[in-house]
Amino acid sequence: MSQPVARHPGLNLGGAHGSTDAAAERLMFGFWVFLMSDAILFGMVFASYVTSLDARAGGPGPHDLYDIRSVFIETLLLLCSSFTFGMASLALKYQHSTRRLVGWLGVTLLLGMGFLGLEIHDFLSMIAKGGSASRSGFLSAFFDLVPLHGAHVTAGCIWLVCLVAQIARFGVDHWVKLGILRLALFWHFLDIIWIAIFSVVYLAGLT
Amino acid sequence: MSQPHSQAHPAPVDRSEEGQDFASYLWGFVLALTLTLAVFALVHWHATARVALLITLGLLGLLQVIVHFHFFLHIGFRHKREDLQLLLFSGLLLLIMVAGTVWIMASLGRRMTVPAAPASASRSALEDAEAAPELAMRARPATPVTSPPAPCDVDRSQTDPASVRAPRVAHTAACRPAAAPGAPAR
Repeated sequence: MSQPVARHPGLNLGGAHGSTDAAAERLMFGFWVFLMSDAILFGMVFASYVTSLDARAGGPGPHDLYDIRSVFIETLLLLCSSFTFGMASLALKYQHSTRRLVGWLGVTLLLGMGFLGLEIHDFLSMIAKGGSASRSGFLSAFFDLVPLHGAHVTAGCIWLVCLVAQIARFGVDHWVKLGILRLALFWHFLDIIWIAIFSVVYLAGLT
Repeated sequence: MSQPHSQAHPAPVDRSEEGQDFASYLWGFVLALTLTLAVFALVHWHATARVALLITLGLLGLLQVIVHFHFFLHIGFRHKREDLQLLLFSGLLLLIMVAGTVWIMASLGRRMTVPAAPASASRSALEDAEAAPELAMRARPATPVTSPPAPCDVDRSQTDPASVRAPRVAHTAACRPAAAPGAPAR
């Protein structure tokens, strides 16, 4: 821990950001509460997936549908995007040039969109192999859980585009900083959900 | 709030901690990458038996979650608000709800499985005995169907051995099951 007492989860901006740092405490705590409730939601969808594992109705199973190489690349993309978002947070905290901040945010956006593209490609190839959501209870549960995470990542990407547009319009002001702080929390949180997905769904499914 | 722009604050940027903050992200990235590579390699090359592999996957996944929370989300023991407590409490809720759901639904799934052939009844009784000790205790006496009639309407229909497993309403304390599951098939 770089600071003796952290005001909120995620990178704390510190005293150099004055009132923004003070305002972040309340907003970030609220956002943290939202993330925890989102984690509960994901947990229950995970439970329904695990419960439906054997409900194949004679349809294809994990070994027929999952592609470990594709999932591996998706995992690396998301992990790298977490790191690049961390670099963007550092550029924000230490007030480097706006170009540097936007650059890291842009790289993060590209990695996130690469992840989404690969994931959609996976879903389409699963459906092509006869693994659509309506095939069995197992596949319904799969297409409930994994695309739910994908929808979150999509929302994160849209949010990221909005923040970059705000930077272009207003510069790196109070509200843009608070937005980046919260999106950073959201982005790292989604990466943690992905750990659970590739462990429980893909890797455990392929053992 | 009254001063929305950072330019309004003359306080200089303290760059003394920048290296430390960068190291946090770098360490998080390296550790997470190592753990990711490890689990994918284990599964790709089927390193151990399935159960051991699943346990290893669970432990390494949990470790990676902790790495992410510590190095990327900077969750520690010294927070002004109850960030860590909230996380741990949510984790506890998740554990209770997810583990409880999986446990109950798996148990229900086992009990609702209708044996395809009479021969498989003894097999599922064995499975039940392994899975649920409380069922095993009931299975041991192997009471015949003609033993004292239980004070429960459901059991009246259980003269046909094939239907014995289906109406398991007899689980309530008031109704003693007339026959142990699967026993009359023999």
